[in-house]
Amino acid sequence: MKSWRAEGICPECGNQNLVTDPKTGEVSCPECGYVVMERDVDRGPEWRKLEDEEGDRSRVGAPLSIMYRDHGLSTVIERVDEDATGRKLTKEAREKMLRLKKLDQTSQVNSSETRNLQQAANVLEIYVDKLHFPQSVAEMAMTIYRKALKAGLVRGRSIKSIMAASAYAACRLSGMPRDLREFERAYPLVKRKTIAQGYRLLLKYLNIRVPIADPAIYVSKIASRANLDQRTVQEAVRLLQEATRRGATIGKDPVGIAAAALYMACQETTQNITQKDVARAAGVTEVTVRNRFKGLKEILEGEQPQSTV
Amino acid sequence: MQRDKGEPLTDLSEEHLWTIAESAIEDGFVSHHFRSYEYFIRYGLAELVKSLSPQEIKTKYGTLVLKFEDVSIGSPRIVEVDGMVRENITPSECRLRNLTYEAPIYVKMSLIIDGRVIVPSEKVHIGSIPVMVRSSICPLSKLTKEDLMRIGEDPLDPGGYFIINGSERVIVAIEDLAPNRTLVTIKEGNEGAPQYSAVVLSSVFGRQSKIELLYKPGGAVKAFFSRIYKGIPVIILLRALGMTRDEKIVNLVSNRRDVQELLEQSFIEAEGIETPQDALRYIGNRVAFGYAEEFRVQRAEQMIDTMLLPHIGTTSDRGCRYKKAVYLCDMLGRLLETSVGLRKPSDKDHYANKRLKLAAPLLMELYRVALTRLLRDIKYQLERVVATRQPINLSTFVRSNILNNIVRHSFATGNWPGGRVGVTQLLNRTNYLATISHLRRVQSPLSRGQPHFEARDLHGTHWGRICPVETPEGSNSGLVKNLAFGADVTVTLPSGVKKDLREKLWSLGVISTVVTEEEGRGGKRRTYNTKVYVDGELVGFHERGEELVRQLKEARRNGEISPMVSVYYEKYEHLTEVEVFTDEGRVTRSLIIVEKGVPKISLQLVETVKEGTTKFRDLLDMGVIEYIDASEEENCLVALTPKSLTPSHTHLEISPLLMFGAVASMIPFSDHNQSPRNVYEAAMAKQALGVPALNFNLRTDSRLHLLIHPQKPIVNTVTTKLIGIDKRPIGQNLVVAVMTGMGYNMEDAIVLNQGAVARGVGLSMSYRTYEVEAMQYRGGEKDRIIIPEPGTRGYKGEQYYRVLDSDGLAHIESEVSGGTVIVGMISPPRFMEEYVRASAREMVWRDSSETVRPSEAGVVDNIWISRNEDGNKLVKARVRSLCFAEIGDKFASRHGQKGVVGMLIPHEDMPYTASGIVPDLIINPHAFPSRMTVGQLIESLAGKVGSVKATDVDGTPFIGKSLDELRSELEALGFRSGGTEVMYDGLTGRRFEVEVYVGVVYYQRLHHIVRDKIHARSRGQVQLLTRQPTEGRSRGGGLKFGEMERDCLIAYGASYLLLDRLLEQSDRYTVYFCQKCGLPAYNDLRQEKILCPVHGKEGEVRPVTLSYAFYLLLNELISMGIYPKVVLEEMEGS
Repeated sequence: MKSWRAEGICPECGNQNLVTDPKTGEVSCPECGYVVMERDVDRGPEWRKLEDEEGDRSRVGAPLSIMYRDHGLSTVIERVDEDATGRKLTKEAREKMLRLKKLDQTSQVNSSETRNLQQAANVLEIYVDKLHFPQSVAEMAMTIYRKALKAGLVRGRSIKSIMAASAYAACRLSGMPRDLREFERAYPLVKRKTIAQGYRLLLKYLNIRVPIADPAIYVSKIASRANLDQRTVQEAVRLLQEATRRGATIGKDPVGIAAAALYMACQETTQNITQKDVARAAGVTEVTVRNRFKGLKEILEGEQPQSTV
Repeated sequence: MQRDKGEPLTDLSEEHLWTIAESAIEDGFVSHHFRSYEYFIRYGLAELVKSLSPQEIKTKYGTLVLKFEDVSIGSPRIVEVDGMVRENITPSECRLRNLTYEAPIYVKMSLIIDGRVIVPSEKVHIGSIPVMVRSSICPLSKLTKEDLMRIGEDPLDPGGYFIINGSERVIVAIEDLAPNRTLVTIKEGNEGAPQYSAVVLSSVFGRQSKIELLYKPGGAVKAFFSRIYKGIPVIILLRALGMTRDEKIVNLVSNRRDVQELLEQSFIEAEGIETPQDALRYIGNRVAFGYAEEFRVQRAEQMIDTMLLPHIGTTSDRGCRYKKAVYLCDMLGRLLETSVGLRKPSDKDHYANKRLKLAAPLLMELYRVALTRLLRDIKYQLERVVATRQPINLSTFVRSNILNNIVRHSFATGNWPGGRVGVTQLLNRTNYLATISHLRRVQSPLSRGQPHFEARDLHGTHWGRICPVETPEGSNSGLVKNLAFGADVTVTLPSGVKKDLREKLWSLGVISTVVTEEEGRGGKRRTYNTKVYVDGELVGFHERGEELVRQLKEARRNGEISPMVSVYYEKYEHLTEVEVFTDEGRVTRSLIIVEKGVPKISLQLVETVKEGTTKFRDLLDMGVIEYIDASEEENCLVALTPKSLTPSHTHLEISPLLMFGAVASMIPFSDHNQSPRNVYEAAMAKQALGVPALNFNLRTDSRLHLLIHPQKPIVNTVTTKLIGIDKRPIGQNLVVAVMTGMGYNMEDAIVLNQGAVARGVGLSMSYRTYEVEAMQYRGGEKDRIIIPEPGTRGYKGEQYYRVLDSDGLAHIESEVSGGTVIVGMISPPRFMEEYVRASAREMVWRDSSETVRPSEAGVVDNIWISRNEDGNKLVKARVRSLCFAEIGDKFASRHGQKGVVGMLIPHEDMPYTASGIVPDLIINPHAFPSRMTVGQLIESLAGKVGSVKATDVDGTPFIGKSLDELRSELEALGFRSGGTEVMYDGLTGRRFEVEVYVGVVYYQRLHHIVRDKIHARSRGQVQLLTRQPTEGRSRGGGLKFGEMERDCLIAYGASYLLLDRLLEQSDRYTVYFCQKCGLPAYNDLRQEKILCPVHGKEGEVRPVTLSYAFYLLLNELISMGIYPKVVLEEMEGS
């Protein structure tokens, strides 16, 4: 006996789209008008007037968070030397509780896996802080790391390098422009090359498909560092779109291309800026900017887009 | 001095003085917030950081030393998701995008390992500080009126608040007992014998520590502090601090033999513990019992250095300990002298013993906690790093988010570390007056549950500091206060200025306590009859106290010492005391200095003030006006008016009006009202609809009301102009007749003229803003803002998506009502743990559209699309609706006369005067006799004069136009001087037998509108837990049929009605019970049978109809292992 609730079908006419009216508290079929149920349950937040019992009305604690090694679910012994009645503990009891607390703490982080996650979470925190990740990206990074850990990719490599690579992958996946140089600057203990290695490893074994980095997303950041105006940014983005359409950005460092496009846009909006300044703002070498600039110029000024690929 | 001796002093009129009062408020109404915040930004934070430097970290690999110097604060900025840093953000952008308006804090740090400098002085970003809008670091403070309007700000907005996650938050001033002062009180000991206690709340850099000395007459004095709960003899404590000479102690305590003898018992108790080492060991035994002796002494030393009177110092050098000992002796003296009646116990409600905590001390507390947390993390990280390699820079190890999270969370919730709640509050934007009042609010931390009668009473020292009128009724009465107009709050003097002050004291012949000690050793003995205190600490002695006070005051008037310093002088029979105060949070008021009965202000000076060439600050510098705090005022004799000046007066009140707060001062003729009526009005004015801010069209407050035809009051007070009520009015001038309104204005109802309502009386626009954030989820999926398709889970039915455009947002200016979707959004299915990429077909998206609240309707006014700090799309949609005044809406005059509309009478049916004037509003005469709001009657006359003459009328209490003037003016205009007029009945045309009192009164429409309250329910949703109808209008809830209502039905015998209310219309439910065991049975879906939990198939189950709440109770009992047996009986006739 399957109920309509499990199937969501009108028992009269078989319509699949039942409609709930919060005003009347009725679930009904919009086709035949059959009232399937009365007195629907209010699923909103519980809200009762508990004037005399102050305190919060919630029956639950904080939500699970992937950012903690135990998802924030562990129970710890509090550091209060009082018993339930509020009396001070005797010296013996206090020392005993202290010992138990220490024992409990060490027993929680016992397996190498949890210890590993704890360390990784600490590293991630640094990146979150320095690179201003939104929470969602941080969580994505942690998920990737957990997968990597399960797949045994961390063994033989440093925790921080894989964590950095996961964070980088999460950035790429969510379209947040952070390049490897910034990663290195934020946390110099992990070198750019190490992150790149780890990143390729993750892509290979975890089957992550990353969208190609669009140089346009780096433009506004570089522009803000080089103090360029909004008009230039728009022009650069326009140039980049054109270049991408003609396939000029394939296989090139997106930051370099973005920098070159900005430099090019500056010339058109007649803002005075040297290649050196753009390069510094973007964190690439002058040579890169110059080469990308040449490449861009050729493609954008050339009439046959196909020949350049 | 520009005093002209020939001028008779009576030439100064109250009007002249009002010119001075006006200039006193030129800084605005929230200058106290700015000053406190700016102090923190400029000095407070730097001093706090300095107090934490250097930090030592001992590791196996060497000792790391972290040093801080140079704190700097940048300009407000925001870091966008793409890493772009923008420094051109405006408060209005923050409000719109739910951002936090904050500025970065940089600290120069250096790291030294084992004496080698590893990182030399690096500028590190350690976190942010919320920026007070319009303070000196807010760019808004430098903009012109036009520029402000261009970036979407109201030029009259007072500022003084913060913007946290898009919402405006105020730090409410907290009124606390003065820290670092000795307060002596008499406690009722056991057996009724009095006990004397001297308490000092020592507070420095947001750290607090209390010490109490307790004396039972005939016994020894004991000291209680920190972890010493049982108390230790105070003499032992003094000896531990290095004060071993008994004679010295005795002399420092008091110069009276009888008081000194009271110490005998205390000395006896301390016998045998003579040296500092003995004493430390004694204390160590108390605080670290059971540890090695060396450690015990170490702990004891640590305790007396850091936990005992930390405001004097926390170092362990001799000088610091000596100062603490001197302080303790002084406390002891005050305690014992009180016990013999030489002094009176301190008055805790005296404003000299109160301090207001504004931004600076509160931020100090918050940042101390946040910085310690940050430091702990830095230490932890450095410790780990040094193990493997040497850190090259420090910024990697400073996680600014730690600081930011604490600060933002505290600001957003108002929960301060230390368990204080409600420190920040959401700024009240009901109307402009409410906003200003909120920014001048003062809250007492006393719990509102307990009576605290004395604390709630108006105290003599409140005069000119706290508004005597504006306080809420009920549980918070007298605990929530408001600053008076003339009040000002001091801030801490920069440490350099404090040093100068001490120098000044020495130069004036004060002998330091340290010097007297040396003199004492040298054998020289001199007696000084005056004790000199700075901020409650005994610093020295002087020979002629009165002379010292005179010199200090003169120095202050000459500008040699800060005007914020106050000097207090008190003469006892055995000695005199001079107390100098420099600390923050004292409430001062400005007074005109009077010498030999002549005020130091001249008429010419008043003229220059009027012209604006002389500012209030100049008057202060010229020594014409000075700040007086509550303690100094004890030595002053203040004349209320220039006329009452005598040679013994020391000061002249600038204006008696300055004793009122912002709200109370705008009540016209309030001096003619019974006082509680003014209190009621002060509360109601904050609920009146008006113009909250000029940028209302850009604001996205979740609820906002706007009065469409606001008028400035015809009868005003001198302050209404000053506050800006003229420019952001909160009501309308109505023609009011005092008469019965055909029975429709009984019991405080009012009758409105329907024609007047149609012409815009009380017409308002109300706005509600809905907010939607398209979140990003872990799987990479995002909420999508589109029109949901049929088949989406939770689809509401086509008609609800009617107004959506193809972008998923409602079409602007489309009409919407309860349940209509204004922002269409669908959310991806939730994943539990891992990062999965399911194919699109398997995903069932949920409808998470934002709908208009049930029972509300209107027109989509505007939609803002932006991105928040996390880069998520943020949509704010505002719905507007026009609200005509209708039956049930609440109106009030400015005299605590409130009432709801009882009837709207067509214009032609309203009564009219001989000249054809038809009243807009009819108030019942019964509203006046018992309430005695004569002010309203006078306002009515004044309003009439003003309307006919087309001028404003001054109704300022004490100094406004007098009743006689008004009456004669009215008579001259051809009206009756009594305000009555002949009137005719609008229905019959017959003349009323009596004349009717008609005039013009300013009325406010309050935001309690029926259309927001009307509610009924016949069917609807039920609660999850009890299956009883939901509660509250917003969720279509039922109206409670409570215990007393139930009693009525029982008494009446209406049993079926009772059954209907309590069961049928509530949580009726049918359960099967087993007759054998009396337990609820369950439905086994597989066997399609109802089974008993005990007897299984053998159970005899019977259906029972009962309340679901009762069924829930049975199940809860069962879950606790209790066996609730339900005994069944067959119903008769079934």
